[in-house]
Amino acid sequence: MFKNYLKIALRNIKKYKGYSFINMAGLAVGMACCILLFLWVQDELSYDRFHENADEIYRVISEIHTADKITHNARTPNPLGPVVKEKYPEVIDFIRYQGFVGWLVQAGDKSFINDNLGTADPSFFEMFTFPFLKGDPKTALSERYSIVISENMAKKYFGHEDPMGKIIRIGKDFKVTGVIRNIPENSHLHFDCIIPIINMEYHWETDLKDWEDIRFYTYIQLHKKSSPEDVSEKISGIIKEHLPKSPTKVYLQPLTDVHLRSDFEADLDNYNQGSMAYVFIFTMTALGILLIACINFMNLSTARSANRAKEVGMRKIAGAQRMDIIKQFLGESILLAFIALIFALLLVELLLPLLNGLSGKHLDLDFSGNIQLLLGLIAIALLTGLFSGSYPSLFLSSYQPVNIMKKDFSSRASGSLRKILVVFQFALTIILLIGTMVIYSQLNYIQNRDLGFDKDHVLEFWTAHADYEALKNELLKNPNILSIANSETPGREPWGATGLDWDGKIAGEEIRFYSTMADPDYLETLNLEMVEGRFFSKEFPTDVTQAVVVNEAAVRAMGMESPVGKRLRFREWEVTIIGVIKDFHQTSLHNPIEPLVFRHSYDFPHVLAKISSKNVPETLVFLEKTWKKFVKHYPFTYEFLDEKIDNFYKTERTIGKVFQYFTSVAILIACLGLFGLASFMTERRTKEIGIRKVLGAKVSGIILLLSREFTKWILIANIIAWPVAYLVANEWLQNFAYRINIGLEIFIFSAALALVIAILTVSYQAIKAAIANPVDSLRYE
Amino acid sequence: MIKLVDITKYYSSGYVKTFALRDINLEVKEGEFMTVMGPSGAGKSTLLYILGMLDTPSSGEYHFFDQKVHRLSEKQLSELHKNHIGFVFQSYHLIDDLTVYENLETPLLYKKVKGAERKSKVAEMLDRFQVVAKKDLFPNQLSGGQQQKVAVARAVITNPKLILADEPTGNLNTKEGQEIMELFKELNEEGTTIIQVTHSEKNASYGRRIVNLLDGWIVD
Repeated sequence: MFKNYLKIALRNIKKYKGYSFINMAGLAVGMACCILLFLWVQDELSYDRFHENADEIYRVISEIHTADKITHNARTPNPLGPVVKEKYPEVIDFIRYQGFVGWLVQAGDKSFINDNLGTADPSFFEMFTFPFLKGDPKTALSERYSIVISENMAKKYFGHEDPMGKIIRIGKDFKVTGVIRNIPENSHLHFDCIIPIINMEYHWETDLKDWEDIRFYTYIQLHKKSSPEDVSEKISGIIKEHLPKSPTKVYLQPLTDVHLRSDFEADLDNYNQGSMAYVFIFTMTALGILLIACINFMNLSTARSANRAKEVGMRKIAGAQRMDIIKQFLGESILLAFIALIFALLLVELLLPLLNGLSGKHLDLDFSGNIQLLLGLIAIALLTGLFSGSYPSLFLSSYQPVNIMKKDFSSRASGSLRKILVVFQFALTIILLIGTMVIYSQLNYIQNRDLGFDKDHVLEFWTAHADYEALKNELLKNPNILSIANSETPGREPWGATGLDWDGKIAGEEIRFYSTMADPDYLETLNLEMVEGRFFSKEFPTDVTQAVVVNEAAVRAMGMESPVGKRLRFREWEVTIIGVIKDFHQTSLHNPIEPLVFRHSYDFPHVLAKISSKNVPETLVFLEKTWKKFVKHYPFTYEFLDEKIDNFYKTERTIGKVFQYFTSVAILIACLGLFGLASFMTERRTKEIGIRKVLGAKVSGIILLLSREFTKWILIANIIAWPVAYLVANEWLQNFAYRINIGLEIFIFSAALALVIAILTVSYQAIKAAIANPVDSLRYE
Repeated sequence: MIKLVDITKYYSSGYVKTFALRDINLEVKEGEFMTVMGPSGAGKSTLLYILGMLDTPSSGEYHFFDQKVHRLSEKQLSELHKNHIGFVFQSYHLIDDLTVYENLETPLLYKKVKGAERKSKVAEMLDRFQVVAKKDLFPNQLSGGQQQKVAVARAVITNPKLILADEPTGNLNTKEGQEIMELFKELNEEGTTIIQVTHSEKNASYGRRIVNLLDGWIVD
């Protein structure tokens, strides 16, 4: 029996090549999209799961409760880890971690500054599973001057020599005590080398006992049975005990949530940060596209059912039960689905480099190490086959042989269900279309929004603590370097604090504020405006220690009437507000403008330079040359401010591109379906068209007649899609503090686009039918 | 073998009832060779389909041996039908995508006949209907007469008690038609009950009993 079905199925595929091609191409493309998105989602979900203790490790997150909101900070007070371990038996171990880039690392005659240097408590490799190629994870970091390096770093510094016991100089000499395998990409922790945290205290002036210093990420490992809620409650209590005035509580974030569910201040590795929302959106998109492809398949199969009707009738007369027929047609669609899967896999191989290029991941189709993928693929093909075969098989099996044997049999497959399916399919497509347009408009809006400062032709670089005044004078000799400021950059990670005290503060009213370093040239370099008072000035040497400038948002937050001349106090400093700067977007547009306090920079190793738009390459060469005169060991690296700001929206840009591709695919598949349906509908109306033409209808009239029905469907699809698209898009826009309003024009445009595409698709069939000679269609009556 | 009591069949479309059969009372004995005749639209085919259990009457009783067909479920009908009834149509109705061999095999597959037995049965039929050489051809590679031979072979392969033929020679030339009728005669002589619908007086002469239909009534 099975062989019989298989033969029929294969012969059918061969016989109706065009139809089989459309059917399978749609399905294969849909599956390929689905598999690509599946790989992406799988990778996103795999972060940090490779640690043996992954389920027992939590990261301690600070929750800062201020008057109007709760801010989350990924770091915790320096001494928290050790105290927690000592006090609570359910805490097996703790790790404090921090990473740095930009330190000069030397070994032998090689030196680089681009290594990721990590620093952590000595039991780091007992809590986290990073396999060792050489050395012992238990003792590797127990000596103060020990360093564990990655495979890549070992190669970079020592080539083929054995790195064990060799010396690496990072300010002090460290002895290599271990080499680990390169860190997998799906780890939120990334470092090239790691040294014991104790060195922070000795050489980098960090007081590990200072509760007010919040510098490290703290990870704790809990006993399997203890409840993270209880532990976080206890830890909050400890913070209260040591910092009675701090509005900080903590919550424990499972290690496996770090990649997808972190939206915190001062977090690690933020450019690679994932988001659960995107995982959700992509999963839905994948399913949506597969659904569109399945509906296509159903529609085309059903449209062709008249051809198979006779076979069904004969089989029933030969003794087939309805179940036999259902099994046969389901089997056929599953077979088609598996064939489509093979094509889909080829497509995936072809398209993976594109997706990898977009997402910066290194995904591949590797079945051996990925049972999930294999099972996933089989499930996709099986479900696709079952789902897309269900309607045609139920429909075909319902044929009564007696009806088929009658001469005037014509398939009644026009059923309203098929129209509903096409409407649904188009509704999904329109949702994707609107989504893409909203993303595009929002990105456009961000790109063109006035940030309140001039970001073009500003570059920033590090001075390596060279003599700033001398360097500045030397640089300004070049007329293309317009201005230089010794300051921090706008567009950096926000890094807030609480505990600010000001004249007229109501007791207990806390605000979260952000501080930044600037010197008198800052204003000109970024082309900023003052609202009140003045900015720092060389004429007032006391500015360096006694003055601050605040932004308008800070004035509002503190509720000050006339801010200039008011006093501010924070920990050891007490200063006077000398001016109010006009609000500008010092961070990404995801965040609102926060209260900002400018302090005068002093021996600050960072420079902003505004250069002329002319002769940029020459200016850069000059910059580097001059810089080299002052700094010996380090290479010159710089970053343009506009590029840096662009980077904030890297995720959104990637998502936008991915969406664009998948929307195109969805439109393509939906059009294939519409094309098939149109040809079927037109065929059914051949006689009607013939009669109309004999009665004198014009070709244009016929085309209009045939297109009208499809137009109606597309409009209905639009009406269904609009509210859904609006809700989803609006939800996405909530990620931005500054966002577009979704205007009516987006909806109208998407409707128009869908309609044009649909009519183009349908018109081929309509025109063919309309210009056909009516004699041909009426003769066989 | 067959007893029809007051069988009526009508189709309703809107408010209009169109009667195909009216108060048909008919008895057919085992081994008969009966011909149903009448002009187009007289209800001949409808009667045949009802007899073949492919269609259900609007009212009346249908007894097949000791079974009350009008009371049976679809599944039981299908069971009865696949064991006892073979069908032959004017336009052959072979499955286009299966070879002659596979077409013959299909009813056996649905009866869940074992492989070896299936093979021998199909071989026997191919032999008997002299289409051995054509067994790997598809229906559209055969002449009308050959196709109809295959269709008859397919109808008799399960050894049915009753063969229903709906204008079996309608699409054939005289010589081919004659061959098919000879086949029916042979089958009838071996004991198979045959009921045929035809316009042709000559074909009717092969049968031993003629029932005339007009506007859904049996006329004598």
